[in-house]
Amino acid sequence: MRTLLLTLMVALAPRLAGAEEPTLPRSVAEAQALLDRFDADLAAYRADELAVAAAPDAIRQAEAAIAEARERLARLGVEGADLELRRAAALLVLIAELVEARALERAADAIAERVVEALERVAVARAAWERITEQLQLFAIPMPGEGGQ
Amino acid sequence: MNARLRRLAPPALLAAAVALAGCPTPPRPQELDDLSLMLQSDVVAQAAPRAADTVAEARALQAEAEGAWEDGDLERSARLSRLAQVQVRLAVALARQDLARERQAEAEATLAAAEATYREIEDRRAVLEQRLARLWAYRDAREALAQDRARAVEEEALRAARLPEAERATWERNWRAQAHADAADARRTFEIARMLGAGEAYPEAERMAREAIETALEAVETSPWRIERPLVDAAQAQADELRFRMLSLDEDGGPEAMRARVEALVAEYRAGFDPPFHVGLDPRGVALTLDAKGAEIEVAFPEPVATALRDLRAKWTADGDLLCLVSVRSLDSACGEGCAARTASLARTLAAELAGVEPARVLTVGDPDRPAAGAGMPSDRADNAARIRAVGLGFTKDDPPLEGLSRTGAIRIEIFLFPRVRLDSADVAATASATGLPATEATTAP
Repeated sequence: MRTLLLTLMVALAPRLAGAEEPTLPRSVAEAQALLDRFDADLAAYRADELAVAAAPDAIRQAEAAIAEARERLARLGVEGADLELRRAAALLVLIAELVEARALERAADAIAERVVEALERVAVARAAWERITEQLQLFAIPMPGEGGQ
Repeated sequence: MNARLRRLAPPALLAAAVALAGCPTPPRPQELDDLSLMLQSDVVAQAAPRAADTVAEARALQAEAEGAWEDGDLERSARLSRLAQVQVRLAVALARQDLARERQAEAEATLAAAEATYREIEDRRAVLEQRLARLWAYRDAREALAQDRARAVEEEALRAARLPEAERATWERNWRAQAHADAADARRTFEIARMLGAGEAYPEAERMAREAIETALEAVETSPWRIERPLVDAAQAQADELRFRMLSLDEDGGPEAMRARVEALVAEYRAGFDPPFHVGLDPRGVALTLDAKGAEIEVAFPEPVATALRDLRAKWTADGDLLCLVSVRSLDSACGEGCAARTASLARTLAAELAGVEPARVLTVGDPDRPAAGAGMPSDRADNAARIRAVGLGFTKDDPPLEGLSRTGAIRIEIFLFPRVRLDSADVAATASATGLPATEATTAP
């Protein structure tokens, strides 16, 4: 996503800075620009079937969080919308991680299916191998007219 | 006290304290309660080890939210709680990713193992199919031989029927002697196949060959002369096939490699042993033949037997891969009762001398007392004892002794040396599977 890096920075700012308070946009204009980019990211997620399937609730909540942040930003400024900005960013990160989790789970499922197929193939091969082993053992019994009879 | 009561207890106490202080009780935000429930859920407990940092952040935000509520800032408490809830969900998503990666890695390892097993089974199946094809070819060839043999026997019987009475009696004696000798050969061939591991790889074929040989040996003593011959032929065919089966194992590098090895072995032993020792090619190895007097061997080892045994012992013990069967048969028709036991005892004595162990340590065919396997012996001697066997064939046929030896008390010593078969564990596992015994290998192993 275009602004994922920025989103991550906002969401993870307290952790990265090791500080109590997150790094916030310095002005209302800067905060609005950030929210615009969040909106663009969200629009991209909405257009992505995988993302919609993986994180429908997070997408709805992100939409609400962005709207709430805009409303508080207009009314109370950057400091008054700090938590909503962080929540919107965190929700976008959550969507990305949910999409990633789903992709990884699908990949694991696909391999698990291949395991089942491979084990079935092994079972078939083993049965064929056992049949021929049995043939070799039963081969001891002479056919009519054989064995110098 | 249930979980919810426990969770609500500190705020309740606080509210009580505030009420006692004369202040109104601040309502606890629903978002804060929801957050507490989320953090106490099993899902978060399972996710916590996989996303510890994110869960810790959520708990830090929860503490902040609790602090805001305690300060009476309900709106900030609710806003912080909502942010913390997102962190909790993020922790669960990260844990899901971690778990999925783990599952994928495990599945890939299982897949690789299953594919390797599949290839291994297929390779083994191809080997077994090749063996089966070789056996069919062998059977075809043997069938043709058996038909020729049956025709020859019939013609010989017709010729015998036209002989005068006295000549026919002699002819019949010779005929029986030949059958006796052939049955003894079958028994010796069978022992070679057994030493090569036929019993482990082909238990059913081994059982049938053993029964055929027992029947033939019994028949040559008791049956009318025209009856015993087909039984002896069947015994020979079974024993030969059993030995052939042990020739066609790929673990030895295949029949061509084995043939080259056997030829090299014969050339090596021919260069090392002069007459009266006779060195010949056996289908599975090298056969050394020497005639001697049984009575002398019972007392001591006369020349040239003593020298030959010493040389042979040095050569054979140096090659730990060679198995050895010592066979003794009488060349004296007056050998009488107990001839088989005497020849077996002589074979055992010779084998013990060859292996450098006590005679009681040598496994002798037909002897019910199995020697203790290598107990109390140095390991090299124990190994020698484990790869040598003795068989006494009694008197079989009126063959003239070699090198002008008189018949009285004469014996023929035949020492067969042959490379051991490296039986693959799959051969034994295959046997276990085919005979209904429980297979011990892992589920994915062949």
